[in-house]
Amino acid sequence: MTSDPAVSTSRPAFTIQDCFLETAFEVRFQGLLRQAREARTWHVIAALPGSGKSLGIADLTHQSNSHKHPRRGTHIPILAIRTPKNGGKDLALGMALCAAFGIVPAMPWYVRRCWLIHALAEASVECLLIDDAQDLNLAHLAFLKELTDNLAAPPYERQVSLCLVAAHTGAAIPLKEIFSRPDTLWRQFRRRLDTEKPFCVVAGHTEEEVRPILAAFEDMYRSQLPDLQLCRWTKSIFTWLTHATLDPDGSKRVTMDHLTRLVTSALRQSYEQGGRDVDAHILARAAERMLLRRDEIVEISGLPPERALKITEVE
Amino acid sequence: MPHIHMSDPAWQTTFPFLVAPMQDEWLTGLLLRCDEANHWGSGMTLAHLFRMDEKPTQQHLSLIVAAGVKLDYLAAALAVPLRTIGATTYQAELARLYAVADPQVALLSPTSFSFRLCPTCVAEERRLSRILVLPHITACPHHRVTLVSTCLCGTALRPFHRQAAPFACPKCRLDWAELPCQEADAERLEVEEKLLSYYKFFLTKGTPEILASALRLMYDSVVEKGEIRVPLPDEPPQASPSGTSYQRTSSLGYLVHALWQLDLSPRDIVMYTGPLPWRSMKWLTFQCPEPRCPYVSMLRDRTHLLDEARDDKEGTNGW
Repeated sequence: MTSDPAVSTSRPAFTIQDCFLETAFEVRFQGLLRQAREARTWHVIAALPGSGKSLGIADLTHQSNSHKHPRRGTHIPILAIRTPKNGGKDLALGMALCAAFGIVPAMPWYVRRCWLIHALAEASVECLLIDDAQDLNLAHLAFLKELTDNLAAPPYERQVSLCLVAAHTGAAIPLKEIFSRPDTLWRQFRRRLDTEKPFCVVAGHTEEEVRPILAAFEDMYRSQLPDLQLCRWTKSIFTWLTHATLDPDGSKRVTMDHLTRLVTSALRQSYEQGGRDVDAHILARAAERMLLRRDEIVEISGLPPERALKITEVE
Repeated sequence: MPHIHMSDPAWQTTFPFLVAPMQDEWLTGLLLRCDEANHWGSGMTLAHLFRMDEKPTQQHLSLIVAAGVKLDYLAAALAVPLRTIGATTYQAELARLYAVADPQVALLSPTSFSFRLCPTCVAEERRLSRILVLPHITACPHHRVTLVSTCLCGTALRPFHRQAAPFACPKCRLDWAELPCQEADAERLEVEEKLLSYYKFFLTKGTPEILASALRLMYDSVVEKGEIRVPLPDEPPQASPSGTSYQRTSSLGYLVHALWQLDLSPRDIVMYTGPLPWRSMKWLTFQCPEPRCPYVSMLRDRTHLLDEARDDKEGTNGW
């Protein structure tokens, strides 16, 4: 690595580039969502935490040309919400769906239920995306079924796609166990799921898929590290990130969160040391922090040097 | 027309379905159209505007001056400029005419307000026109039909009713668009055309000086005719903006009606503004042998100003 200590002191602070990358995972994930929207099918879609599900949903929603216009009306082809974290009953999910429309005045829940169906139909919703679906409870799921059934019935006769996007760990797929129950409601729910791909797990990145991401990082950080060459470290990075600590299920796939953390941590270090590229040593240190010292407790004492207290004479 | 994309922060601060104010639309009509576009019950938007404030009074609900109504909030929720929302009331016009910051409905009409509508306007555009709230106006000047204030079932029409759909009778559910239209009397229409021209004058060009001039002209005219039909306040109008007697004697509705009764025109009022040394109506034909007479010059200037104002008004439809 070429570094210049004099340069490091005069450099502006390292800037994280916060861009959405259409990675192999996103292509798979968004492809599935698009397919579901077109075919109006129902799926439970699972992926490891940190894969980029929420970012993918946000990107897809932005691309969906949702708009409000006084003359042309409101059009929301993809309505995405996050499962209410406070648990609650159907009301909590109903409120989250209403909030996706903007300001909705206070009204009794029985009125709001009806309003929501009107609004979903009027806004031409084609696909309902529920992020963090692993947090859905039975009341939420029953409400989703009621909502979609009402939309499918006259006068709306509107089939909508439902994608329950969940984070999973291990071999268990969230919600699968619920839908396997013998109760009529769950059997009805299960029947509505897609025939071919009712439960999907979207995999992370292979070594080959990591390479173009690193190439994209090179472009993104070229202005700060002009000689950056990350692709040559693809194999090492892939090996570190599929270590049992970060890949406890042994999927041999890399999540975008881990990859981004490792790269940005190493690039920041290199940048702060005045580097123009990143070297194996810095990368290894960043990986070591993530793998071996991830639970290490760091004691914060003293003050950062630039924030040291200034002493001024009192007149 | 605003177009809000989902990535725009305004998405979260606007109503689900937007409506834009139409030209010359009354705020009540806009709120009802907002209710209808959003599949809400009648008065839901209004109730939302008041949700954190005190319970709305009859004064609030007239929505002619929008006192106490958060128009800025409504403008943000519909993603339209505040001035276009303000134009659905007579707030700015009455504030300018009476030189008060917070005009009350009584400045337009001292008597209680009664809700009326033109069924054809409702049928065509879901429009409740702003001019239909003006006192003494009983017919729609556009469709030449008598305004309706009672439903076929006998229920008095109310702009907002919690149990009803927007633009419908709360009792029999009849849509206001289906109310029968009765052709207005031609003579009455002619009178109201004249009344509307007075309103137009005061609401577009009115100032406290013009108002004072109109009152003085009325007084002088009555004195000249030898009959006291129009009581005048003891003090200048701008000096007592909130007094009841003031409002009774110089509300715009009263003033306009009295001017029509006395057959005085806006031109007469403009000419009467200023320190003229005579009060007779004969001044209109005043001729001075002095070629540089300052009063003749002033008269010419004012006539010119009035003609300009008329040209401006003819160029615009809404006022």
